[in-house]
Amino acid sequence: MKISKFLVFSLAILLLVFPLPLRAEKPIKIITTTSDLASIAKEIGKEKVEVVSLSKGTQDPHFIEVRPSMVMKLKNADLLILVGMHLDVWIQALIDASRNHKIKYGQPGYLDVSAGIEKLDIPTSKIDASMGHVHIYGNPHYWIDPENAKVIAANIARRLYEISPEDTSYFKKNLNKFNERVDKKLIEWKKKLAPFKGQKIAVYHRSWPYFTNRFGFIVACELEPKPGIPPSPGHLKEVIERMRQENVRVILMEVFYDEEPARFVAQQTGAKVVVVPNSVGGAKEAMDYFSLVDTIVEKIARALEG
Amino acid sequence: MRKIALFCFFIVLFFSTELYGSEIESRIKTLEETVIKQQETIERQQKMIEELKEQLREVKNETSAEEKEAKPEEEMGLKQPTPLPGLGKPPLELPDISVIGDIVGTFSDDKAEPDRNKVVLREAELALQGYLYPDIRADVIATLHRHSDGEYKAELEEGYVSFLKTPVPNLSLKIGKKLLDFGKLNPRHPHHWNFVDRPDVLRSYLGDHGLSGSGVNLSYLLPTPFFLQLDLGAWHVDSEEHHHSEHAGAEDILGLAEETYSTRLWSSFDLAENQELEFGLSGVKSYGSHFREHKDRVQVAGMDLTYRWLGKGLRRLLFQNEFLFLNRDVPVGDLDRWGLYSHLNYRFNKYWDAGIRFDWMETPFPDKKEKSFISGILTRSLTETTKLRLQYKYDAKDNNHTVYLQTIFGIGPHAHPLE
Repeated sequence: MKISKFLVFSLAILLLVFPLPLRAEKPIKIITTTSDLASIAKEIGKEKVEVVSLSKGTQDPHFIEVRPSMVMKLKNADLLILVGMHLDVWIQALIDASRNHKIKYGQPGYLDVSAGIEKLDIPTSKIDASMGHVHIYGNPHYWIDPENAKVIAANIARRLYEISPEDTSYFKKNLNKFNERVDKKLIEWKKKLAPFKGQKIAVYHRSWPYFTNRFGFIVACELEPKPGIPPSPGHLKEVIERMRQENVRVILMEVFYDEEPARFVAQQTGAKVVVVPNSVGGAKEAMDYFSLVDTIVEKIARALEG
Repeated sequence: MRKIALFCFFIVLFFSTELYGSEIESRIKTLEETVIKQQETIERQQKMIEELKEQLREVKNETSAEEKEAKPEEEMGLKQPTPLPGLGKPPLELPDISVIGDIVGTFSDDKAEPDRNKVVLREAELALQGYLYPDIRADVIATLHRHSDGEYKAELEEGYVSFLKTPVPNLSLKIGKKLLDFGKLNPRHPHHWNFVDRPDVLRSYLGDHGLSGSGVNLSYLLPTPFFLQLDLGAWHVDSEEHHHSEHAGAEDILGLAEETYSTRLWSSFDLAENQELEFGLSGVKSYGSHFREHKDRVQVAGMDLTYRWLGKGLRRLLFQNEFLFLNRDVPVGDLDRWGLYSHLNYRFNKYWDAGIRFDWMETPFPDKKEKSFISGILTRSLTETTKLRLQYKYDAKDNNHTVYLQTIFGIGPHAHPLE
């Protein structure tokens, strides 16, 4: 008798306690490989998602050291968002180690947001290490073009509708708001850079074609002789000559590259070195996607004005 | 009467044809007019099309920077995402194929060093890796390595199948020949280390080529809030018959063989956003590599502690330590020995890292000797798989100096599991 009473009691407790976490609305756990994707995912998911980025804006997204603690982040993730185009290949070892089947290639929890991007720099010649660090699917630094941010956002939104169909209208509303804000800001950014349209700039790494195309700059030369190959004295000499000939006034580079070669070239040519974050969190003021582009636009405009 | 009728008929006929003819003429005229009008319209439209085309071209030419009509979101992102790495070209039925070579020049005043003052290709490794089935992959790593007589011997370093998904959640299984999961360095291939030579304690206790065996390994990711993984393995280890009398210090190498059981508990803690501490415990129960002669049971316990700090760009500070304790039960009695290595490395950027390593160990033989070494290492990375390295090693006991110059090269896609 005592036992059956105890059983009934414990069963009642179980029934009461167990559905509780089910009833409470759990946010969708999203892990992104880069901070930019995290920022955009947050704009679309707002309070219905929990977003963590595996890398920081101060790190080079090509080379992220994978660590066991990252496995824990992926283990419980509902959605993994990656840049794709072979930029974040380091994620593969982590996906396997996490044993989370939701986020494997081909599953709804695996989202490569490069789908639908108009890809630039797709190699048409030899693809091997003699050409430097070549990405066979084209240049993967596409997030820096605000028009592409809209593609990324649409990709994320569509996947969120799939994961949580009941919140479709909520995500759709956020997507529209995001797109509107991008459009509004884009006009502002273009206006700011309009006086410098058609100007030639130098870059450190080939990571800016999407940005320069959007805002009408021409990349005259790169400090790296080939993508991913450190600047050599011989190549820098050529760069200096070219910059003098073509009156290049700005060297654009990311925060995580060595500033020394750029400073040297700047000294020789009188150009200005513009060190900018190319990912959210790469500088203090680049807190989200909009302030990231704000920072880049602001710094370039200031350098070209002076 | 007949005549009149005939006349009338002709009159009528004449007039009717006359009437008919004039009607056709007028119709043709209107038709012609219409055609001309239409032709004019077509020409006008053609002109308009040309103008529009020109305008479109201009719009396009005004660099793609010009404002584009925002695509409706349904139209966006419908193209395929990029395939998995390794499926670079159109997905042929090919695995990832890579070759890794390790060339070392050794300059030493230790006369027992067989490769003294020589530059040799120490090892060439061919790796074939790929998926067999969803969640099942195979890794085959065959090596050709050089022996001190200059001969290259082929060896299957690893060849195993990984079942990444099993009926038990969070449990994976590996079967085949594999480097055993003992500590931080043993499961990693030497080309992936931060130094040229195997730390002396690992070389002496686990074997010159590391501890590898044929068998089964179960790996379980525990449901804890921090990273905690348990590995259990049962193996058969073939003894490395050639390690005696081959290399300098070969007399210090014990190595393991026969039935071997291994376990590893691996944990990791996020100290801060950019700092991580890994702690691991490992154990093997085995026999000495010359068990048939020595009848020795061997147990090795290991503890590893790794601290990592990650900075801007690729800056990294790594402090890695492994302590090994060996218990060897030989006919003359029980031997308890221990040893360690401690490695500090700083990576400045993508291209350069520098480190020091300290080694200390007791030889796993009845006549106990202590050995200690200190090394300084400088590495220049060209890519993730191609590196140039300079290492200076000082043998504090025998007062020997050795300088290594290493070139590691890699061709082709090569994957490593989480290490």
